Amino acid sequence: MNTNDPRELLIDVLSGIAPESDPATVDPTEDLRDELDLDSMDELNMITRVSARLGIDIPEKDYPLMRTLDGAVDYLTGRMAAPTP
Amino acid sequence: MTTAVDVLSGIVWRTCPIRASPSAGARSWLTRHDLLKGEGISHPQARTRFLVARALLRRTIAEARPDLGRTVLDIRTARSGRPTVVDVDPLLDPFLAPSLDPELEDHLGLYLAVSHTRGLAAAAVSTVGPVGIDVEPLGRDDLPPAEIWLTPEEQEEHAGLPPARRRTQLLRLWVAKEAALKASDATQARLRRELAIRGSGEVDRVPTSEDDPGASMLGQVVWHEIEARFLVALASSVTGR
Repeated sequence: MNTNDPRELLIDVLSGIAPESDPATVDPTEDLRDELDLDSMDELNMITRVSARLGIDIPEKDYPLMRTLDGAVDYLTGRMAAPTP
Repeated sequence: MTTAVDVLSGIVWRTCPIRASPSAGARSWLTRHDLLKGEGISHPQARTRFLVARALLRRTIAEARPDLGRTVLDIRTARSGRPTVVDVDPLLDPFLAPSLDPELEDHLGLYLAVSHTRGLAAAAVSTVGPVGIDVEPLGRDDLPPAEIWLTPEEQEEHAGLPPARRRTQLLRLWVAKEAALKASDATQARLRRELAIRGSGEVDRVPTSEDDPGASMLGQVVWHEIEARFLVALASSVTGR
């Protein structure tokens, strides 16, 4: 897996959190909670694992930006491109 | 089978088991708009949970406000994420839906909260102020790392607990914070790490800087176990009243 690709990384992480679903087939514009049957604990676990694997801090105020696959990819792409303070 | 309990003055809450599909009784509470929204949820279990929880919420509203019609209320999601009611079903009569204000969270004097997990739905309706509810299975053990969502003081207390008590205590804090967040308004803490849950269930907001005094008694949480399988937290806002 290309760990620099946020979409691949998210799908890999989501596969561990929702093993009974196929995250690769979700509608990327729809709410992940509805697409994969995630709850708030699953959502926070997803963010924590993505944060750890990418080595970036994701503040809680930004969590709503990661509610869809496309939204999360856009957010992570922006964060990975931003210079480290 | 449904459990109905009055816990705090002005609050009615209920829980309902979630099975493979909504029962005929549950479906009888749903509007066309509810069913259409359910059809938009692709995951079968997520769809079932939404429909069961929506039916339970409608039933709880009817219990809290029996004077209101059974299905004439439309339920929308406000910008805060909280469910809120409008007084007509826009699909039944789109021209008679003038009050579809997603900011209006206390329409008809009703404050709503809903939660669902694998196996159980819970709904709370208050006629006095913001309310929150959260439910999790008692055996759930995939809680996120404590440092992500506990206050520093809670982390310290947690670290000092015997290992056998840690998971139970973490689950109590998790459901309490989720319920308290649902019951808090925009002027209060919106982050889990800012909300301190005291042992008695009091909800405080911890200071976030040297200039921030924090706030005490933003709300109150009570916990209930359901059938020795689920933990429910019910939060009422004190300052929101």
